[in-house]
Amino acid sequence: MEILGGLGFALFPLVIIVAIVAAAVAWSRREGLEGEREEDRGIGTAKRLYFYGATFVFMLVAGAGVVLVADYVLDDAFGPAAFGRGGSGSLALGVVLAFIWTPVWAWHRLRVMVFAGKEPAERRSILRKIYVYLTLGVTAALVAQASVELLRWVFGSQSFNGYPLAALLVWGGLWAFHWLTEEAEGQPTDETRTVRRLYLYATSAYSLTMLATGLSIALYLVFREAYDGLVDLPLLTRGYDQFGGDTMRNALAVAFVGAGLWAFHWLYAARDDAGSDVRQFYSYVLAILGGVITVLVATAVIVFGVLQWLIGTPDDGTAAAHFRFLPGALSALIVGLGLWVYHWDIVRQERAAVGEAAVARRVYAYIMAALGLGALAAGMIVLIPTVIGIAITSAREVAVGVDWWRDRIVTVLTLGLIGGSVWGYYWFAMQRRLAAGGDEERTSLPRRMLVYGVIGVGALAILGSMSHILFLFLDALLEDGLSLSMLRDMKWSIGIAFTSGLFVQYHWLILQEDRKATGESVAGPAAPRKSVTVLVGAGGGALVSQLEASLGGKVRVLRCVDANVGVPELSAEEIQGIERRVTDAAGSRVLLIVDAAGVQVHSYR
Amino acid sequence: MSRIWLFGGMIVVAALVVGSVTIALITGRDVELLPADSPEGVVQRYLLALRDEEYAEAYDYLTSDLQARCSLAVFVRRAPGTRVQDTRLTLDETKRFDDNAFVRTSITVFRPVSQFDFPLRSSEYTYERTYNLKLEDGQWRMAEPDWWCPPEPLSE
Repeated sequence: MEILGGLGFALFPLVIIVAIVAAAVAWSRREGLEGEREEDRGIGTAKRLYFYGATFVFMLVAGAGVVLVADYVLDDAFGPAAFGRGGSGSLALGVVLAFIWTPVWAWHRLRVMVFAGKEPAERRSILRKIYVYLTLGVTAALVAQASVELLRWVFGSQSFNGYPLAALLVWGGLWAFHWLTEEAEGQPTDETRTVRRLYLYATSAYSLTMLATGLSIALYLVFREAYDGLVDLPLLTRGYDQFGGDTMRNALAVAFVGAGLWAFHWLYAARDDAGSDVRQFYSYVLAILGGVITVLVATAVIVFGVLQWLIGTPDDGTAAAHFRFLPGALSALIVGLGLWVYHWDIVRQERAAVGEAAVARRVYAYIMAALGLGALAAGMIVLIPTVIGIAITSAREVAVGVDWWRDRIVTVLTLGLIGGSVWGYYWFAMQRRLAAGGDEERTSLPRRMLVYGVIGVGALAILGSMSHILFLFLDALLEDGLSLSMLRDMKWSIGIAFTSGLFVQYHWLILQEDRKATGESVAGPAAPRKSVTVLVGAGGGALVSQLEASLGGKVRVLRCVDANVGVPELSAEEIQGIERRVTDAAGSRVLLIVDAAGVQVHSYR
Repeated sequence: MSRIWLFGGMIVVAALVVGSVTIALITGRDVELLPADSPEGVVQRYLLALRDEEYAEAYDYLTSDLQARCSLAVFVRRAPGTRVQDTRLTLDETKRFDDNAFVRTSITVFRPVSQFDFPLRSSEYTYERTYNLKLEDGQWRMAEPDWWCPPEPLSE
């Protein structure tokens, strides 16, 4: 059961990776970027699918069998005395799986290695690399889980169990074998390097999460002990060891394993990968964003707690009881800050060395602006009904105490301070970048998604809240019951409508400003982009890239297999001329035929 | 610049951890026993006996009525000894009314659901429990069980 559970745990994130890679491969094939030249076909797609898929499955089953056998042997040799050992079923199953499936796996694995030797194109095969890195990913996850269990035994929080050691030896051995053979084989193309990067950064992401989680729990336990000692609570009993006992041991086990896994993949294996888009996406959108969000949530908890003590209505009468959240908030704040500052430093160094992928930075900045805007809007939505309730007695909820408004004001202040600061910093930083980035910044997808998202969500909120307000008003009018007490039911909708109106109006003006600056038509939609196909011979990659940059999008590439077709050297003006001819072409589908003489532009249907 | 923040931050965190461990070791102590003749002292000794699985000792802290209703065997089966693990009880208030006393405590439970819980995700929670005691032969005794005791048989 543990093995099945471990497999399930390991497979899920890898399924996501595979889905992403499969989608990327399918997309790149559609665009013709990985053209199937004769010399690239290798052993053929059908054979690849069989051998790589089957080898992966056989490895899992055979490995599970060997683990079951090793688990039984280790338990028998070193485990605690069992009351009626009932594990012979698992031994029998393990023997069957190991003896039948291991030779089958071994034969297939040998064939896979022979393919790479006989067909050089196999080393460029994405399916091969998906198989290798899926194997590495699954075995790494199983090794991580087994290592945590083993460390828990070493630290004394659980009794000896043969499974962790067995799993570590078997899956660890398989991981090492596949890693070493893959290092020797290498990744000769961009696509195969991308598959490797996806594995490295996915593994770095979850191992970093393990490290951060374990560390934050350990810090929390230490800070909690210190806090309890400082405030000198009148303790009657304490049912656990100092510094948390088993909980601390478990947290340290998770932290150590996460640290080891992360250090190997991030510090060692990915050390020379500065500048790749996947790395920058990982750095900005996972690591830095994760760290920043953790810091903001922890800061909000602290700010709320302090303000509630000062001006709100705390649930606990004593400061010692009220501020018990501080150890948890502080530990999360420290870990979040560590993630943020470390990865920010890395990104700065790499930006200086190899430049920056603007996309990753934009996505990060606009996500932060959206989160800040959300918090700020939430604060305003709470503020308005609170002010109405303070000003108009009949608008208050029934049976509330005189201090009902205090905690609301604390909430407003917390959300306003944190949300306003975050939104102001990131939004206006991106506004300042417009001057440098020009049209590309203004028309970037993350910016458009934020602006249209705010307008769309805000419009829905306005419609919904105005409908509610109007309904209440008309209902009271028809019932001859118009009075200020209607505000009791209406005030939240008033808050939503007012806040949404404010932000929708602001972002609408931003949208108009962006359109005016980029020369987009305000009255109607932009002209539809044409579907462009380029027929080009060998060595035409650079020309294709120039055409894509000029046309503002990807083109479909057909590789011409005729000999000596040639590729012309075109100037920037000539490229722009081709772009104009494409735009002026009669139809929506355009074919560009490239040869040594130049580029012909044809419309087709 | 961010590198300076990083190293500076690491030094601050290390200092915080060392300071916290020092404070915890200095102030950390076995729980101080309250006076045995006080209601809160009796509650404390009762709970400590349960924590240490000294069920006979804990049983002695019950009133004679309770002992008549529940035998030691039932008490051992039903008493929440294991629930004292992973918890901390702090004394909030004691109120006395003639021969009765009410001891209000806060019970904090820390039990992460999985090894991947963050501290901010409420794996620790606190609730109140009030213990009712009665004065019997000059000694405070636990009058209401916090575990299920079979009801008295109906008299015919």
